[in-house]
Amino acid sequence: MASLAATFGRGAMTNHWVDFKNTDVFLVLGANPAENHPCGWKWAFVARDTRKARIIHIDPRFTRTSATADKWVAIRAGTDTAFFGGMIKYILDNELYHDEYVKLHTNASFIVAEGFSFSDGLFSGYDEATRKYDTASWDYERETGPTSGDEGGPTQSEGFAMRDPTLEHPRSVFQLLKQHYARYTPEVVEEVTGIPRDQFLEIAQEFGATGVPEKVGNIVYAVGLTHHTQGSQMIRAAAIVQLLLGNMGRPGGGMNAERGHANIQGNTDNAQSWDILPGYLAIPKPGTTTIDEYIDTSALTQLDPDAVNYFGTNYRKFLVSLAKAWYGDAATASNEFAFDYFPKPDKNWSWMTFYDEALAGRLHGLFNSGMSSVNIGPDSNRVIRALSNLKWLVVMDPFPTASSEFWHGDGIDPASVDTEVFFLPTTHWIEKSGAFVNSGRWTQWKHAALPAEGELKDDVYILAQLLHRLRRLYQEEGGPFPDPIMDLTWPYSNPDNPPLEEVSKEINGVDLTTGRQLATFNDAKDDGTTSIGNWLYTGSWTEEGNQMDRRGTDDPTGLGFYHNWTWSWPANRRVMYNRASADAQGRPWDPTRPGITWNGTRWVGDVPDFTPDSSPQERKGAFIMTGEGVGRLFAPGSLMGDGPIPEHYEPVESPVQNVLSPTRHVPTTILYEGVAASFAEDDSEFPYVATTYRVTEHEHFVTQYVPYLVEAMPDFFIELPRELAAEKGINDLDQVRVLSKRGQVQGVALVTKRMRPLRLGNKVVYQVGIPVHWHPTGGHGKGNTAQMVNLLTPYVGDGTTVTPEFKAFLVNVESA
Amino acid sequence: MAEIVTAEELAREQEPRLITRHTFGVRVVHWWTTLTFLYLILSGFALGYPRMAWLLDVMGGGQSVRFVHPWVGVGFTVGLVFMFAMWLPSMRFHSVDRHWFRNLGEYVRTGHTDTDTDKFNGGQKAYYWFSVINGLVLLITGIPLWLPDLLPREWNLAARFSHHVFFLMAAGFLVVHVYLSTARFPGTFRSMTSGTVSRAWAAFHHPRWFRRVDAGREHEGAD
Amino acid sequence: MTTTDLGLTIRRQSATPASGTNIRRDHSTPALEISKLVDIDLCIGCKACEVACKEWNDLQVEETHLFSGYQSHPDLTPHTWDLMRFNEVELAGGALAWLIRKDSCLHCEEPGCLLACPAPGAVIQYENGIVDFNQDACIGCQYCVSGCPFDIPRFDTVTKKVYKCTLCIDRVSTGLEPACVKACPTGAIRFGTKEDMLAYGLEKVEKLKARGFSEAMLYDPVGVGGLHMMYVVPRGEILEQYGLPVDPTVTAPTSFPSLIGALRKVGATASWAGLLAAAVYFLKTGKRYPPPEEEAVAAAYEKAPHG
Repeated sequence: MASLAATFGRGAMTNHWVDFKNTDVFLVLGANPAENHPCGWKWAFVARDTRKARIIHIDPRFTRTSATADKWVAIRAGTDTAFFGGMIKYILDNELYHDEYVKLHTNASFIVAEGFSFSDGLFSGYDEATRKYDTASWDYERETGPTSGDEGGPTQSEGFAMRDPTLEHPRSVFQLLKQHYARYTPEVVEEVTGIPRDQFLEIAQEFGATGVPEKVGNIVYAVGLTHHTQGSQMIRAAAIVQLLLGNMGRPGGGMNAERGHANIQGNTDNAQSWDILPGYLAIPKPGTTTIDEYIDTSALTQLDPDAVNYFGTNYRKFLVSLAKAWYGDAATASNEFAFDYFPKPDKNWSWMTFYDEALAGRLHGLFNSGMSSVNIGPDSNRVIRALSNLKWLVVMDPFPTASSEFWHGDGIDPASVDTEVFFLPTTHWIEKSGAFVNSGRWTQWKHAALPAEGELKDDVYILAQLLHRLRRLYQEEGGPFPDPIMDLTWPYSNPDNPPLEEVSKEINGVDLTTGRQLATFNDAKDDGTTSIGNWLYTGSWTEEGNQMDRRGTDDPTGLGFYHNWTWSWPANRRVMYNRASADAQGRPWDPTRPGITWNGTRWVGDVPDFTPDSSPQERKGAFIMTGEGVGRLFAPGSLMGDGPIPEHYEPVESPVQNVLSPTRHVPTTILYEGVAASFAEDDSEFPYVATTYRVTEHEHFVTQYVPYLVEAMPDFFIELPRELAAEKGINDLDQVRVLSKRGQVQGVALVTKRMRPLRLGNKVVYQVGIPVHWHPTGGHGKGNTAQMVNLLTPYVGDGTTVTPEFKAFLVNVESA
Repeated sequence: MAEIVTAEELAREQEPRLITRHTFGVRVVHWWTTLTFLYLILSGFALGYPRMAWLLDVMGGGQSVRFVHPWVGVGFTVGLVFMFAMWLPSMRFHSVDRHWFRNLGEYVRTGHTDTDTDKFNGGQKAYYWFSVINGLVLLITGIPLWLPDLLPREWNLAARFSHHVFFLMAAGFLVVHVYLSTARFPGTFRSMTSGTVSRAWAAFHHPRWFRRVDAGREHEGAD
Repeated sequence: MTTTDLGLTIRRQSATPASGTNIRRDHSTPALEISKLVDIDLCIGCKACEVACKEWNDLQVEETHLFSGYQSHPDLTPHTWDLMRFNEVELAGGALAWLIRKDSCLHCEEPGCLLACPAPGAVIQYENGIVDFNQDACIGCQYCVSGCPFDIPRFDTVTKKVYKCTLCIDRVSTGLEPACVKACPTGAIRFGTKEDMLAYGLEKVEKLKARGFSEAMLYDPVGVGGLHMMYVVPRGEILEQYGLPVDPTVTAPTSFPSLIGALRKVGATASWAGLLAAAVYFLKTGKRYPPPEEEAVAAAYEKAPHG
């Protein structure tokens, strides 16, 4: 999601599922929506039935999505940046971009500072020792004159970015893009991705044709793009395509990240990641002592006189309101609103780091809640070693998991594991009411369907007990820095098991002077008079009640906004950046598909992603969440730690060299201690590219406990191309072993026409597909450890987000 | 199967000089086959004719009938095999049978021909061969109806059709057989009950066989 | 569809002549007919219908193993009335198609099962077109299995009865859609009046043709009088690869039910005629006694070859 924020300002699917019915051309890549998002994907079929939409699917495998697509082409796993790079070049070379849109709504005209450079696969500022970029040179050329009149001196750092409206300046973002992607010729694309040149051109032409006002293209992706060491950059590359074609902000367009697990979007919004606070506020850096300091380093600065910079401008209000929600009366203006209490992690504390720390003996205990360390890997053997090195592990889950049972798994002597494992059976989401945030940001309230069985406890009950007991320990025994725990507000009617309704109201926020629920985040204050758990969700539970529980089905525009159906963050807006759906005069690019329209006094249509009464004559930038006021083709500064322009690198395990540069892998990938030795250097021992995925019959790991679903998709399987199977003498339904440098799994071979050998230059590469759902405790009694695909996956993550590389690694296959 | 017995007949019956036509074993086999076949016919009608479906209830319910019918069919087949074996020597066609068939019209009209008939006349032999072949066909066509998973659908349909046709033929000839052996020719039925016939009956209907028995050249009631 | 008339009176029952029960309706207006329609173009093969069917009908879980491709069971069973069939097909020109078809009872207008069934009332056809099995009356002969041109009914060896999709008659009779329709996430399985489904299907076929599926078709074969679960088939040219017979029949004069029906008439007539003839013959000719013994014996010896 980091890449979407770096490009547009917010990190989420930009449109929503129903909006798919407004699309003309779908480009689905790194996703299998028919399989994994069937309820949403039906809207693509509606588009096809009602407006003759076309669906293009690019995937290593011919999947259920391919089966229903108009066109499928096989791609080598992990090479999507090269594909999009080729698209960008094709669009620029053939002038397919939406010229007016690009000039109006993107930073194409911005001029990049002279210090920026790129050569041999490296951007300027790379430090090999730390494997990090100094991003100072990735900046715009700044105005040297006074910025906005009275305040501030003429210092370069405070200046606005320089622009060249003609896009001719050699260091304009537009020209830099041209220059950067000149290497991404159809021939190179073919050699890297395995997509034959003519098929690539066909697709580039078809999707490129949406760069006109009367057509809209939609890029649909999912973890097939994110689960790579260059995942963020793949998404950035796709986002650039969408900006160039003018598909952003428009009904039927967008960068549509499909989120899974019913509520992963809600998870991200509410800061399940270590590097953000709720509502995508940055986590404070160590040594930051004042809010001013924090705002300086975290909030975006205005880079263009026309930029609204809404987020940057309101950062303080949101943070202070969050502090009030967390620490209540203990957060006052005089103590910097308890800013001291906020965690300030001293390094990357992504979940992969946890296991690294555990292995090194620096982490002693771990809670698993709503996740299972061993199953989700990567490199489950390494995770198991890490868990074995803990003092204690608490697993909160409705069912035993591979983590709660790791200590007596296959090949593990329980006597050798010192970790004390506690299994706390919790309620399943079926058994409690609460909100799910779907992929399209719809925050939907659902009601408990079944009473909780036996002695199951809600997760929130367990967390409440934890808090109460920690407080008691502090009271009885004292200890360092008790304040964040002791001062935490806990204003619930049942402190032992806080009702989720009350938590939801707290997240929405309240005006502390009137006691009324806030209706919009525009009402947030930075003086401590508002309390907001997550500013993005303000409006979800107002004085009018629970907006997430609404079920209105009226759709006056006919475009599927359904503003009275549940509630969509932000501000019940259905299509984000919708100001970009209109031209400079406020007229929709396509009058049949208006996002918002200026009616002379107001913007009407969807909830405007804009100041509702800011007339086109004010010329304010459409992307109000960026400092530039426009979408970023070039992501300056530290927005993307691994490069301002996407560049193709090979996955850490790849059968080939990087055709595009001598820098083979992402140079900023975090290499945990000792992991480099667990990667296959080349394809000599492990010749096949493996990719992992899910099947529609199962939901991650939990449905392995549902007999009907086990019946529907019973066995752990390995998908093999016919040609590879023939070479190896493997027959359909034989038992096969798949080995990587880290482990092995065993399953049923599905020999299929749906996986094809790829020709890369003069090399033929086979790909192997392995689904994730099977694990030792599931399978309706048939599970075993050797079915865990993450025994194979490499322990390495994306340079920006540390998302593991689940989708491309090397394996060998043999008959079992 | 009761026979109306007149005084005259009674006198003949009481005549001491009787010839054994069917041994005890033969009669057992005959009646075994008869009973199984009767069950098969009735249940067959019940299964094959919606208007006769009431018989299903009489016979223990449709599911029972469906279950029992094939097994009784097996039993019938066993009887048929015995019948085939025990009568085979007497059932070979000879030139004399041609004479009988040529005089079939007279036989139908008068109940007699002047053919020098052996133990079985041409019609009886024909009925024997018909029964054997028909039984075989019913067995073969019955198996796929019994176990429908063995063969493709079209074969099952063909089998069902053939089973139906051959069943009707068998039932039709059975009427003739029963009629001729009971109502038409007095003295015949007892050959399958007590196993004996009168000398007059034997000499009149099966003169050639009678002469052999009379001459002691053939053991009485060889089959 | 109105909730007052769901076409729930019985149109026909197996092995029951004149088996309709409705005396109320003015028969000049046709009864309301319902239909499912599977738009294969929209089907993603997720098996939600398969699971929903088992769940609603409380069918037992069967231990399965992957049977090639993504198919869960090799075939329908007495406990699996709805099965997604998968077939990977290489098309002319090298493109790949993954043909996925929901296989379950098609509820023929002229049901081969009903016409083949010898047990009165074991197979029922409602006026709305639903063909259902009444296991109480089923005798387990499995003639329906052979009679079905789509190979749908399945015999359970424990209960010795046959089972198949009921088109959720229990749901339909209360105004609900069938469970598979309810569960389908993409709207590939539709439910409504036959008329509406035909209209949808024909329109969809035109759309598919416009998209380049030149042989797209609505599968509603006349040989079975039409279906109450129709398919929109995008690639009509390879119908058989979907597992659909090109020309299924039960109504043709040469078809089995017609033949067996004719045979029943012939057989019944012949049986009665035979019995009658025997009686008349007996009246005409009576009994034939042998002559007195001496005469008979003498005649017998007369026939002996001389020499």
